[in-house]
Amino acid sequence: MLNVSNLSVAFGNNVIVDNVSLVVPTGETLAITGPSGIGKTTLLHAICGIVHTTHGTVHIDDSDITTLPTHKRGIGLVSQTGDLFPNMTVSQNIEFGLRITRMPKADRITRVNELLEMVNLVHLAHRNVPELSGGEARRIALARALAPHPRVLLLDEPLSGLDQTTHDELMTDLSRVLKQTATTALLVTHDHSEADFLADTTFVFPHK
Amino acid sequence: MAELMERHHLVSKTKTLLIAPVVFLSVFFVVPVANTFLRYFQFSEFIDVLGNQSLRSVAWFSLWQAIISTLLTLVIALPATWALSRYTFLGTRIARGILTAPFVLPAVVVAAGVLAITDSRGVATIIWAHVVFNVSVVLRIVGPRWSMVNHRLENGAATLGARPSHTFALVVWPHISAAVTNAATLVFIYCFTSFGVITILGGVSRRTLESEIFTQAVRLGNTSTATALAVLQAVIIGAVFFITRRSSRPNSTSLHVSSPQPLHTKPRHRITPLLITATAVLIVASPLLATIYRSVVVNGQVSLSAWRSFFSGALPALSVSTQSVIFTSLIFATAAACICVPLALLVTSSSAPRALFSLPLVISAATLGIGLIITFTTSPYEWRSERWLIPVIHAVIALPLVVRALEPATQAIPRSLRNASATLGASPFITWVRVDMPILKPAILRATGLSMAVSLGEFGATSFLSRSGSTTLPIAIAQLLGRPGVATQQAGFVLAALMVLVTVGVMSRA
Repeated sequence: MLNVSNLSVAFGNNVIVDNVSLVVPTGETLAITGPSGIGKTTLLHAICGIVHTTHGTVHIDDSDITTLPTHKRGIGLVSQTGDLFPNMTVSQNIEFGLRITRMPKADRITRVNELLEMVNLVHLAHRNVPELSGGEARRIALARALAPHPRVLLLDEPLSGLDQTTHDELMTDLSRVLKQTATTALLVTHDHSEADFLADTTFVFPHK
Repeated sequence: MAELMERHHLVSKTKTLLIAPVVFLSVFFVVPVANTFLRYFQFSEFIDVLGNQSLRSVAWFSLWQAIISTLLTLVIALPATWALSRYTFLGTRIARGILTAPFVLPAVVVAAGVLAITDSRGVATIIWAHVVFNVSVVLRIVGPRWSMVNHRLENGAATLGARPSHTFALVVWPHISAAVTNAATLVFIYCFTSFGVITILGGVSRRTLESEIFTQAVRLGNTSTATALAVLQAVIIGAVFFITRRSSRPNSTSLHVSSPQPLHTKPRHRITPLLITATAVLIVASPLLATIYRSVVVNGQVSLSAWRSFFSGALPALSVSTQSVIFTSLIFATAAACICVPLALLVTSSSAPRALFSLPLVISAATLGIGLIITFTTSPYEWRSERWLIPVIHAVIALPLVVRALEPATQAIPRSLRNASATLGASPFITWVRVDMPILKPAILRATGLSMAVSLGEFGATSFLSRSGSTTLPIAIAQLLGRPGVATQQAGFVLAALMVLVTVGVMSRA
């Protein structure tokens, strides 16, 4: 369970996230909606430790992770653009987080194949990142984020900027993967239909 | 808005990366230079220097030759930059390579090349050498800017009735003016503080402030006068920066520049850019080819005796062997790169202000040289005779250039990639090793090549520190060309030719 309590983020005198509290039960998906530029992405970045919070706490189950560095939080992030490492192949991207955990090579290969199957892209295992289409890159980013079994998955507008067909296909696949893996997920979107389709609960980001 | 502020917030966290580069630059640059000014600068000496007819003429010569060199460089380089930024024709890449190569060649080699053609010393040869050296500076700074000016803006102006001259003045110039001013400022400073060129082509009658600082400090032991001259030089350089500071800032219109435009493949008047480029190539390449020619031709006869002598290890009139000079230069260049590139990586990984790291560009090598010999003379800092100090100083001098070479590549790595790496469990160090480094590899190789080239060619500060056991290639070239005798001179040209080949080879691979 992800529990965000009275979380605020300010840069200097500018308060970006003001006293936000939310709870995502284990295995469920919570969607956060609201207009662009309101601080939704900053909230996700605060939860995963990319930016510091000025007030409030973040708990996963019973552990307080508010002051932990990003790489020790066990929170996965899928960003708007996927942010795949351009100098690595598809497999190497998915394998990245597994190598950090020093998983044996045979196990890593098994896990990478499992994830490629899950996102229906086994045939792209050795493809270079620049050769991927937008939809393929988002799927690989999802597989990469799920690879190290994150305790919570943050999805920052993972379907934005795609053509309608790809958007719909990916939304269906994302819903299937989240249910299949029983991942605790926090989804940021400005599209209410996405929120309705993917999430168990919707949280409307408060206006400042 | 939230994303912009978030970025600013993240940037401020990286200042700690600057600790090592700041300490390095403080110890080996700021302290020696400040020490020179604080210990030896006397206002009365400064007034005496201004009142001294001989020294005043040295200052005046430094100034006017630098102005003429800068203007001539712009006259030759700007049209060539236009041609190479806007048109493509057979040999474009070779022409660009030839015109940009002298940037990393030692000034003494360029001077040796001009000497090889003219066989005389004087103002004209000094200015020619400065032009050869600095065309590459203009091409490297202005070229990328000019090639990014959006063709559609020019076409739009033409459809509104603007003549080509109007289009240039109203559309192109606002985009490139800051780059031109930056380039002109740098060229002026390089010419104003010229030392290697003056040492070889100045003869006994032509001296610049830079060469006079060396003479006063090292040959005459007159540190106070040398310091007063260094202050005068710094004041003039400071004034130039002050005068050009406004026009060297990119104006707001520059921000609307598009991505690089495709070159015209079939220009209507292809002959004009072709002729302009060929002229510039002729002016720049001829001295470089002349060093090779003079190394194999003596009194009109082909002779490989200097090369045979070179391969046998003997250098006439010098107490060191060929192997020793080459080995020393390569060791120093490698060591300098090992120091400079990691420091530059730390600087570029941080987003703190870079002004400190540009200082070695504006303080002359001779001023730094004095600082080193007066600062590192007392225990426990008695380092002036230590061989390791030379590559360290080469690293100081190369640092601003290497930072500039690495910066675009470092800045191009999206922060989001590092965030992604962190959310996958990678610590900042692992992220640096596994994400940043592989992406930066080509840029690091280029930066290493640049650092090695700067070290291989450094002459000014090395002149103050070099001992018989630490003679570098440029020092040996200057010593050989500065002495009489056909065999001695030809040995100098052999070393210069070797440096042309090695430096161009290193840079083309980097």
